[in-house]
Amino acid sequence: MDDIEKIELLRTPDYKRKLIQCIHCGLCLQACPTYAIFSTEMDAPRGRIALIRAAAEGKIGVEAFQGSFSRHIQLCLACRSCETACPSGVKYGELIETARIVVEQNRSISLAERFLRWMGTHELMLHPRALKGLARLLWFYEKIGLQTVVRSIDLLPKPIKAMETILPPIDLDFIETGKVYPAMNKKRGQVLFFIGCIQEAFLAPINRATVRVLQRNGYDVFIPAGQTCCGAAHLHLGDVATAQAVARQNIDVFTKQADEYDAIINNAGGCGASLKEYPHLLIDDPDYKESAVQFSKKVKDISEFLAEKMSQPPRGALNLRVVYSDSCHLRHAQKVSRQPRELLKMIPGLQLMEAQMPERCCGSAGVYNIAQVDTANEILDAKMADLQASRADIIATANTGCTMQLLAGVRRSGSPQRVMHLVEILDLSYRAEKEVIQ
Amino acid sequence: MNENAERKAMSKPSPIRQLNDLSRTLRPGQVISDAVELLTYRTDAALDHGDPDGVILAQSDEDVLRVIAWACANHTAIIARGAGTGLSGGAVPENGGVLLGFARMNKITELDREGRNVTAEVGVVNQNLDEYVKKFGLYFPPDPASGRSSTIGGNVAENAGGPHCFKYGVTTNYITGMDIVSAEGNLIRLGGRALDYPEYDFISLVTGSEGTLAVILRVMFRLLRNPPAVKTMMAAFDTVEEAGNAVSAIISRGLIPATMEFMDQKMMGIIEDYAHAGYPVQAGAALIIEVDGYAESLTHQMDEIKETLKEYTKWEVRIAASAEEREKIWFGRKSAVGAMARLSPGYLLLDGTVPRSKLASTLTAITRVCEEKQLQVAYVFHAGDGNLHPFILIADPEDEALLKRVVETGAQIMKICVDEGGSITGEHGIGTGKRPFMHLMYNDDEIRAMLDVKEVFDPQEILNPGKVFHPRNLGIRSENNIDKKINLVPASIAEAARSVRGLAAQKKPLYIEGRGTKGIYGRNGTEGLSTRSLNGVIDYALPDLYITVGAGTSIAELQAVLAADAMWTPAGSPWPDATIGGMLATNFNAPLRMKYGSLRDNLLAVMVVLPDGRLVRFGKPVVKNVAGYDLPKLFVGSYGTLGLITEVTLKITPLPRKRVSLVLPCDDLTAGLESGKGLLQKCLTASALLLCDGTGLVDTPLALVYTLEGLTEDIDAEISQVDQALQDMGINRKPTILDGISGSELWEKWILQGLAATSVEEPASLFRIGLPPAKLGRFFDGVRLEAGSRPPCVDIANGLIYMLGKVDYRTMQVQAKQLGGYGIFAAGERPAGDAWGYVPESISFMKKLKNRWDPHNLFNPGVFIV
Repeated sequence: MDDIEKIELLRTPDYKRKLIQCIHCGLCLQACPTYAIFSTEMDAPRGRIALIRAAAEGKIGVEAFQGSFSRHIQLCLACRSCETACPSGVKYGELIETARIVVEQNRSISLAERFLRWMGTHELMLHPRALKGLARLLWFYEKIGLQTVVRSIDLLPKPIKAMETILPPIDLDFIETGKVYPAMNKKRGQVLFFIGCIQEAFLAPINRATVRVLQRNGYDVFIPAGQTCCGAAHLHLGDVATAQAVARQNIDVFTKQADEYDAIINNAGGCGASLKEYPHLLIDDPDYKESAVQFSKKVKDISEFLAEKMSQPPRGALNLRVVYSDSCHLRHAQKVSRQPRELLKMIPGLQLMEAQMPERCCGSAGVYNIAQVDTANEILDAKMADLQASRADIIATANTGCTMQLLAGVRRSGSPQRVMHLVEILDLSYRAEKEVIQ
Repeated sequence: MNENAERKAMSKPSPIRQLNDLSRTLRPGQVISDAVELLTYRTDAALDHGDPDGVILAQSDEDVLRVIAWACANHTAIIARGAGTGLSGGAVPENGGVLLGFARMNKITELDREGRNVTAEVGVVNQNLDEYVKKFGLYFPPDPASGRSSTIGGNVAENAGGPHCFKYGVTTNYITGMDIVSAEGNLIRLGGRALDYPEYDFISLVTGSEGTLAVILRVMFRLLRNPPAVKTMMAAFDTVEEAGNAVSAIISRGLIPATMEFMDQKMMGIIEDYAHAGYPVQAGAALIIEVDGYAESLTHQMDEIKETLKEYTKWEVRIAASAEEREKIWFGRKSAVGAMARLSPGYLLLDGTVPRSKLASTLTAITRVCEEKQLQVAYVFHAGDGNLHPFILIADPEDEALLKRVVETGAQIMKICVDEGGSITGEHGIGTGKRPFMHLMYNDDEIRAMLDVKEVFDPQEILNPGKVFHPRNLGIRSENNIDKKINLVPASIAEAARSVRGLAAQKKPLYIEGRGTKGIYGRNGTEGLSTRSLNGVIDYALPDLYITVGAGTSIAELQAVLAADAMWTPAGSPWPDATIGGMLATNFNAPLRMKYGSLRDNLLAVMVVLPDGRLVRFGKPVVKNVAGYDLPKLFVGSYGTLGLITEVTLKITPLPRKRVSLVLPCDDLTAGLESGKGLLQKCLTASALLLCDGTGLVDTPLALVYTLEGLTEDIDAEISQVDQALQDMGINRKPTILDGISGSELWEKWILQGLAATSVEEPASLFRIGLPPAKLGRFFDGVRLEAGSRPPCVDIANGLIYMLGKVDYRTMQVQAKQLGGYGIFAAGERPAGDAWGYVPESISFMKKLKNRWDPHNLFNPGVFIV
């Protein structure tokens, strides 16, 4: 079995201890989005842990690493909904993340996939300027009507089509890095803002709304230059080295003046979880171990921060029904689920609806909706059905991937609902208030 | 375990090739045969494991029929699996075979709101069913801790319990029907949506049989009205003993909380760490006590419990202030199993039951054993029903010596439970782990009787082979000494068994009777064997809420003994002389089921002489016992064709504090049934809802009788709901309130007077029709009652219609059958020839079982359908 590369990662005493923590009670099953589709053990957390355990014990051959073993590990969304359901405290996220690293070392990857990944995770995500360049191109693609043509002839190869499908309407009004956006009203403090890579390039209005809402609540918002992608996508694809490199870069950029700031704000559940988990990622790096801990302590999701520090409750009435669709990494990894709802409930006139399964993943899951198109679509369809049944006018999100996926979902299902980040809804309420005043 | 090697040698070659043949007839993705994927199907939630040869995920009835036919042809073991959350290894393919997974058959197929019945496929998740019916104001009480994942199929196969069983009973008490596939590959419906079908109660056999008798496809459950309010309190105690005594004290006050869950200090600490439920971790023990009913009565109930607790603890009780707080308390409790893993990577969890007065002494004994063996133990348990859950921690699951010590300790604990009069398993099942301990519960004759059942249902041993019973026991039958002394009125159980053996040796037919009250046998002067001398109380355990009496004890004698302690057993007969044995054998009871369950639900144990003379005892005097097949219920409604009931253990319960009947005048059947249907939706504390002869009650031909029993506050609240419902239906008449009178009494009087009043040309017979309750109206639309005949008495809640005198029974039977019911003669004269007009779908199994135990058809020949 030693022909399996990096298998030793599954055999460390720490990892082994985390594996046997699972007593296969099965209470995770109903929490798992893939189990909901397939009803099979190997596509449920308990079964995946059994598979990883078998691999650690040398019972999985190299051919299974090219085949069924890898397939089932990759079918996991890593939404970590099972962690919330697990009474035994199994750290499933850590288990699956390491297993993926081993899978990535051993499975055969097509040239095309290699190219796409390299383009995406190295040439684009790590280079904001290139990413914004692409955004400009795509903006043009949308504006001249080419998108409509492409979508109607439907000739793109599957992975490209998957990416095209989740392309949101692009707005090119980017935020300036290295700049301070000053507090409005009485100044209450100052925060650093982590803008994210895709979020800024493709969903710039959310970042602008975030800045405005923070200003409105009396915060100077500083956008440090030199910040980069959080590294979640790299880790997701098993590329630990790059994930660690970007973590170090972000820590360097943000901790330079972190002492003077109240928090490092982000508005994407997936990125936030990744930032908060830097200490785990850099646990073996003596130079960064400490600063990673200091850094992660300051990281706050926008709703987590606002629910605590809100000084100017939104007063503009929005007569809308809103359903909040939890971001998995915000809810299950960061354990933030109460705050977004509390914030939305503050808005006068807004009626907060609940979906049947608000905690269920939408199928975005990092690059899942590109890598596992069919399963992601099944998950999305179930999600859309649930969200539509809530009778809400607006679907509120809290993460980049979710926003793009749900935008695609609305289109796919023909739903009349609008998708907005919850901070955009808050911003809308503030603006409505202003208009009333004027 | 250690018989594995032996079994392995006997097992057949791998059926992978044949599996591929089968997979061609199914859809893609329904068959799993990849060796890596199969690794995920090696275990359930217990410690044992085994490698399946394949997994088939059924999606339809046809799939299952095809798979079973295939398994028959290939002699392949089929192990049904729901969510794999079982705690006894029931779904573990210890010797290979094919797992038949039901997770995809997960639809709730029918909800009958009026008749309060739901049909669910076996893959439906327990919690989903619960939440679904709650939307309609209905309640499905079984709530195993694994309910958020476990499936209905698994719950039925294990006869699962849960915290609410103390008040509401276990899964089997709610099943009215099920569709099964037999080991021979036939689709059979057992029971249905009506009650008390004239057939052997195979539902009770299949329920809790751990997948060894049949494969279940879907199940029909009766539902209750969801209690409109619930209150939950946490009571803390210094010691385990104090908590145990408090439980007994609450029960002895005549209070029946919905739950009484116990946790010791260690367990609370473990759970609190995970669930942050606010448990009193400083205390030595705690109880979660929940009461339900009308909001008006809860405060009073809580106060009374608090008052009682004062004598047993100095701790303040904490009452959950919000639904959220209550959910947290329960979420913590239901996470106990998983939360253990935070403390220790392995554990052995046992689930023995003891009569509840033995809880404290049992705990002391278990703790001592664990101390001797230097093992750590933590407890949670359902204190109300004496169901213990000791967790023995396994610090290192790879330490063989430690594991051996743990298993030995487990065995000792099971023995302690049986020695205290309890069972080795209350709700998890025997599966693989407890199999070696079945002999603690049953002697060879009893185990053989169970194996007879297994052989009747699954002669080829295809269904979950090897589970529950040790395979070595198969196929051996006991020899009996034959005695010539025959006494037709045996004075002792031993004498009864001797007499039966004597008669069997002479191949003489034998008619069984109690005191001859129902007189339905028409046995042409042949003398019967009477149980009338097998009478009197054998064991009466007031604090443990059971009584054991001879089968010949009359219902009046029994209730008189109990009434002295303000107790009773929920049963009634028009004839005070009716014997308990006779009531059970004919399954004939007063209309009490809605609140108290039926006779079978209140039967804990029986001692029976089988037709070949084997004297066997099944059941235990505890409300939860899932060791082996649930044979006591099989004798209920079997009309003495399977055995002679000699001794009976029944649940007892405090007499209701108050009992009143609302009586509403009704002009005709249609209007009465319509009003009844509306009122049925209000029944919570009600025990009966009857439409009966109005003579002497009201000045209309018919009267609608609505009986309420229980706490005064609950009754008052329900009366005002009934008044409101009548107004909403546009009925302006006010019901009169009869204090102290119950529907049962009116029903009894009506039958007695009716049978006495019949003239020469009128047969003195009582005809009973059973229907799905929602179909009552349609039944009367389709049949014509004889002009001038006495009006029927309709038990609206249970879908039973009673008719006296001359009845056009054949037409009635046809009409009833079309609506999913039946019609039978329940007492008095029975017409010659086939008076049943009903052939159960399970008739071939009825005949096989009858033939197995009574090959010469000596017991009550011609008395029942079989």
